Amino acid sequence: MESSIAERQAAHETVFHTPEILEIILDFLSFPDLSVCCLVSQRFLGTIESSLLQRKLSACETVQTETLQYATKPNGAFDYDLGVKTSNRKLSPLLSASKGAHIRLDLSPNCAPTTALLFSINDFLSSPDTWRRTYLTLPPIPAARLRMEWTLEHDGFSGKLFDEGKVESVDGKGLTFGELWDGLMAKRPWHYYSVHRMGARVGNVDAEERTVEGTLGRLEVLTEGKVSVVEGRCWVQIPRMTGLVE
Amino acid sequence: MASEAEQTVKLVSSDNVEIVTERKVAERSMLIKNMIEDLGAPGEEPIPIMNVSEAVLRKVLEWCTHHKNDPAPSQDDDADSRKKTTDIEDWDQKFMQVDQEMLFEIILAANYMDIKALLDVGCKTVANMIKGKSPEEIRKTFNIQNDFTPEEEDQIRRENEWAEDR
Repeated sequence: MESSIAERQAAHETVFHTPEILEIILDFLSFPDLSVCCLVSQRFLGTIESSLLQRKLSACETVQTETLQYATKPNGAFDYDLGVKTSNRKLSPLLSASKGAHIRLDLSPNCAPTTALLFSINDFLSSPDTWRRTYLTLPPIPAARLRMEWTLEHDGFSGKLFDEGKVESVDGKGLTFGELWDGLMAKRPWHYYSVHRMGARVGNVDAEERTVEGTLGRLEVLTEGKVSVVEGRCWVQIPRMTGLVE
Repeated sequence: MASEAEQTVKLVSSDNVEIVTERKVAERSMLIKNMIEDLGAPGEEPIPIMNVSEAVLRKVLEWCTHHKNDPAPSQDDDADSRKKTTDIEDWDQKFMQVDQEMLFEIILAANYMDIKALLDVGCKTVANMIKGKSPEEIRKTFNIQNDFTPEEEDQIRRENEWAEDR
């Protein structure tokens, strides 16, 4: 009987000492739970820091490519925001988590842009629930700029609109995911103003810029006037902090 | 000759107990499926399951029997597709209501026998036991030793300020 007990005690140790199994277990957890698990033991911490984060990072490479592409556009209002070093301002790991919304971000050590793809329009109905009070960055920032990219179809028009705006912390202490989300969902009053048009001209529509005004996050506004939203994506951009960047 | 559906296979546990089961049930395990294909004559040669005791093997086969008609796992079942939820279907939840060390034995057996769906159910069960607990509660639940120095703990806490309740 004693040997049986000894064997059984070995089972849980073996599970937690088998990296691939521990990784599967931890991968089922949300970021708040993972941050707690970092404090359980060296083995938990090592697995979370190496395997899990690496895998999440590998899914972010395309985002970095996209943001770099936007940075090269002339007269882009956001250009000055790009190029902030993540080593000087830590970005919340929640930005790369996937809890209620598809949030992806390049957090690799050599990553230059701090622009993060927050979600696609299909995620609008998702709830961010428990991470509402988490700061976007440490040290906290009072505000962040947002950029929305809408792929639209209108009478003879097919292209993309870039919307931009700013969302601020309510108490001025630091912008949280909840405040950011409320801004995006138009629960807080701020407006976007679209100025850019991209894509090929279709039919007899002139090539001049088109302007659309409305409240960001409200799909119905964007669908008025026979404009159909095919796809929408949002990026958050963390402002450059003087003295924190090389 | 028996059809494939009627064929049986003999499995031998680590404690030398022979268990006869349907081939279809046993083939939920990719390890056994590959061995049967290699041996070519199922039912005649006993298949040793060296790392799994009789008690655990019977439990695993109980799961395989219930799930014998499930679709075969696809190669495309990548990590992302299975990570979305920790929901466990009712039968599996009841199946996993065993003592903690049996749960871990099942996980190890599923890993060794290459039964991905069972491994996932086991790991989800453990993940659900971790959810919402403090580091100390997790250590106590699973009898894990704290091998951090106080300085290391402080540093990790500082790095994880994100998740703190405000």
